Amino acid sequence: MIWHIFKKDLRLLWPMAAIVGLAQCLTAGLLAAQGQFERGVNGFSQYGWVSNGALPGICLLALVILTVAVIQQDPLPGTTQDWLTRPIPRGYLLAAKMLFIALVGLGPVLLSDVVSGIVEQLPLLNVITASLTRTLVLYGLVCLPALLVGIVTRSLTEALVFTLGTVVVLGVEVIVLAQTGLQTPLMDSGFAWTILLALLLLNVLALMVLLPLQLRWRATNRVRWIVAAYLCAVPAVIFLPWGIGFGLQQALAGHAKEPAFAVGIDAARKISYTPPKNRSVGDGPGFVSLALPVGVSPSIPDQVWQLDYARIRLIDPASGHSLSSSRAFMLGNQSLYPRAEPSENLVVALPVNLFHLARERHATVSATLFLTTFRLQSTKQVDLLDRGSVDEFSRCGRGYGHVIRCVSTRPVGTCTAIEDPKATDRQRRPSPACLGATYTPWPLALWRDPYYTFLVPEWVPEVQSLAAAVVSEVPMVITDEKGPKDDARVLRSYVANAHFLRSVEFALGDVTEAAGSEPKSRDGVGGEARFAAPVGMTTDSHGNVFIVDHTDSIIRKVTSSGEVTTFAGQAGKTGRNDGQGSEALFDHPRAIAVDAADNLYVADTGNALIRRISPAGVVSTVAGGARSAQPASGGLRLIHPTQVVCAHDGSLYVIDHNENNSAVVRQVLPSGVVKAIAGPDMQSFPRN
Amino acid sequence: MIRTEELNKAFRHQQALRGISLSVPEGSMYALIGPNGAGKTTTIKTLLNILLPTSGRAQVLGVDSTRLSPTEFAQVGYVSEGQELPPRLTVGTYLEYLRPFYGTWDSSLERTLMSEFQLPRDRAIKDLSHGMRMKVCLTSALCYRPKLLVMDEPFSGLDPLVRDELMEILLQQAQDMTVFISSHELDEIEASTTYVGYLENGKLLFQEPMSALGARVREVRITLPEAPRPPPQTPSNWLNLTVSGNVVSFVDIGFSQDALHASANALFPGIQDMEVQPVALRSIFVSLARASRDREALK
Repeated sequence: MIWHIFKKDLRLLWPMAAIVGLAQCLTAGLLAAQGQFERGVNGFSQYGWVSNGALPGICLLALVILTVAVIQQDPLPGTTQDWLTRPIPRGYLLAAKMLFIALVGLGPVLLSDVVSGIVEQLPLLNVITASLTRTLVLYGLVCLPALLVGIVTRSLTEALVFTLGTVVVLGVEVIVLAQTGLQTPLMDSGFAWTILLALLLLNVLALMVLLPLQLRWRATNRVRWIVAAYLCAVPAVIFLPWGIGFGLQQALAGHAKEPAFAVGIDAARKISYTPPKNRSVGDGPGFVSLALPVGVSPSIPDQVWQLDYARIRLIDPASGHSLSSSRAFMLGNQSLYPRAEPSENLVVALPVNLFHLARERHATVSATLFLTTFRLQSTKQVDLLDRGSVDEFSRCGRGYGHVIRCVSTRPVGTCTAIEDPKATDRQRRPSPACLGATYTPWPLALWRDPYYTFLVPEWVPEVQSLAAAVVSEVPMVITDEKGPKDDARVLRSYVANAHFLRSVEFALGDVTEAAGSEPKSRDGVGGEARFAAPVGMTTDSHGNVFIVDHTDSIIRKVTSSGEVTTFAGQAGKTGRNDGQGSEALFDHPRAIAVDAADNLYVADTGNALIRRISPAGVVSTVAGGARSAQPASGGLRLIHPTQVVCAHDGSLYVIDHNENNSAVVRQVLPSGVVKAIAGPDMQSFPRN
Repeated sequence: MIRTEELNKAFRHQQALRGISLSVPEGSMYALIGPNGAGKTTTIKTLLNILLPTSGRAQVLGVDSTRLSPTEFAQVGYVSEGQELPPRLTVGTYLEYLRPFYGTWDSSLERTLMSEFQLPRDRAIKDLSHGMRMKVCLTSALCYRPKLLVMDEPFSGLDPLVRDELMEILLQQAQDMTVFISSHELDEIEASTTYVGYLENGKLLFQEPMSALGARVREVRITLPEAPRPPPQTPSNWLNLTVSGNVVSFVDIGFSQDALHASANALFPGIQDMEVQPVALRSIFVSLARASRDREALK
């Protein structure tokens, strides 16, 4: 019977269905053929607004119209329809309509997604799950509301008027909500998916309530009001204080219990540890928790990449009330943001007006950050720019040095840094940068929808320690892949290996007092401890945090109980001695990484060495200096290593700089030999 | 077949049905008559669960009207003046679409009706005339030989030819069916109607077998020697009393030979002639409606 009704609707609506399907397939084909990086004036597609906005928008609109039309083939409002007195079970009728939407409306969407995924040579399982997920989400977020409109209207014109009315109210509503200072705390964070999930569930719930109401009571006018009110009220969901979203994220991540502690730096640049339960939540000054904010940037850089969303509040020290609040962009550390000074591990770019206000009023700056780190497990081959390798809705930004950083929203979640082949050697700065992706715990493959979130194929169980959650730095593994043609046209694919999301909140302290102060490091527990210039962080498998204290040239260890000790080196003393603990010396180290056996690797920048610290604290030199430079085996010297990461095969990848101060990527083999992987000094580096 | 008890239906500002209790025996042809706005269509829609009753209950085929399921609908045919058929389907595909929903669909009857009504199988329903559309409606309601056929003003807006055609085929096919019909075309249905219910302003004024109704209503003409003065009060069963010259005429809705003579002689002494004639359903309706209008005017 369901099939019979389905066939009747298809017979009536096939021309419209064909147009909708064709539009979908054409759009997908066009997007695939065009590629995102067809080079326009500024490096992005000149037709971006067509492919990113207009075409998918038209497809969605067509889907909505088709959904409404199929419902209206057997309209619910009114008392004169023929089907009302026919022996057609209501359930079958509804099922037939839902089937129609799924097969005829969304079938082409699914098909074009799967085909484009296969064409892109993505893993089949990922393609299928991701495409199915996208289809389901479209069903829940687009088709169900359209279905609600369909059950209370009799004609497309009526539906259009109804929708337009709702849209107008919605627009006003959103403007009013935004103007009244209500925040959308999750929208640009890694938790946006919880909003989508909530909207989806709400839509299903609304349908379950309203459809029987309309079918049974047939009180169309009343149901119309309810549907309109529902559609208008739903977007308010995004303005809810979404604490539950964070909780859900943690629960899904296997981190249901509260963080053991939170780390923060207060106005005196003193690190402090606050048990989360005792935190004073709110606007009050002195509220500290995590991250390592070691500087406040007074100006907005001329080009910023929105790593994540930060909400900045200025707090009057006398009253504790907010003076002003604003959105700001949080910038990443050096590897994410090349121009950032080495001492800036985490930068909050304050809007200029806020900065001046803070300075004048001696106000405390409080920032709510939504940090996102992530794990991406794929090593999808990335071809050159001009071959349209990056899919259309990757989050990409053109950074300094003509490096375009992208996070693919493909189901495999490739994270790439692609160099512009037109850039000069000097401008090339390979950087394993994965930017502001958001995370969903399932493969949410919305790669054609720029507003939707990033997808990750699998969850990472390794990040069990909550201490790891406070790490703002993304451990990266750089893999050097050979392309299918093995012809050096292959660019690097950088794979991040940690995935964790966390909202952190901290006070930046009194800006005027904090400026210019240079306290020395000091060991201690909780608030007693101080850091000189913490620039690099990592965690071991026991949940200890290791921090590179740059200016004091030491490696600090922070246990999960909040105790800070000097793990290796002597504060303020530089040198290159190996040895146990304080016998060893470093010279302004920059970065630290950990391998599977909990060995730490330190980019000892001043010494141009890579040092290893065993779990017992014994420091040795693994690369750099004369030992690595073995011309016979092609070994190279390290000059200015600033980043180090561990690969699974035991080798290390290091971001170094060559004689021209261009950034290069080096591989340090287990034998200590340093090899060139990428960078302008590589003769084999692809030229376009 | 149909039974209602104290059926009430109120719309927002209007009481459409007021305590209707009617009963349609099996095998009968029940005509629900009444002036426009009396509540006939509302009654039918409530019976078929298109509208929910405000209070009271209705049973159709022994099932509460609010619980009618596809099983019951498969035995009920419904033809209505304003019925909306899927406009873009052709007549053929529409009947094809309906066929699987009815276990008792008779394809040979479908062919017969199609040819008798001369329905074009390939024409879209929206391109049909009103008369043709009603024929499609009736065909789609007869093909499965329903036990109960409910018709709501099926003949309105049709020319006499089509009306006759529809009625003829309806009578041919409806031999064992119970037919519940609301219509203004009383001449057409009078011959075959077995029960009549009169609805006025949401109230069922009476319902009875056609034979009983016919027996109790008479048109009376009294000729007097000279023009009489209008009597101050007449019996309540005399409707529409008119005096024209020396002739007095009225409709007696509670006719009995003796009572009529007694009352007439008392009111009009010296009657020269009294003519008593049976009345057609149409005239009964007109008399009742006019009387009602007069009562309203007096109020």
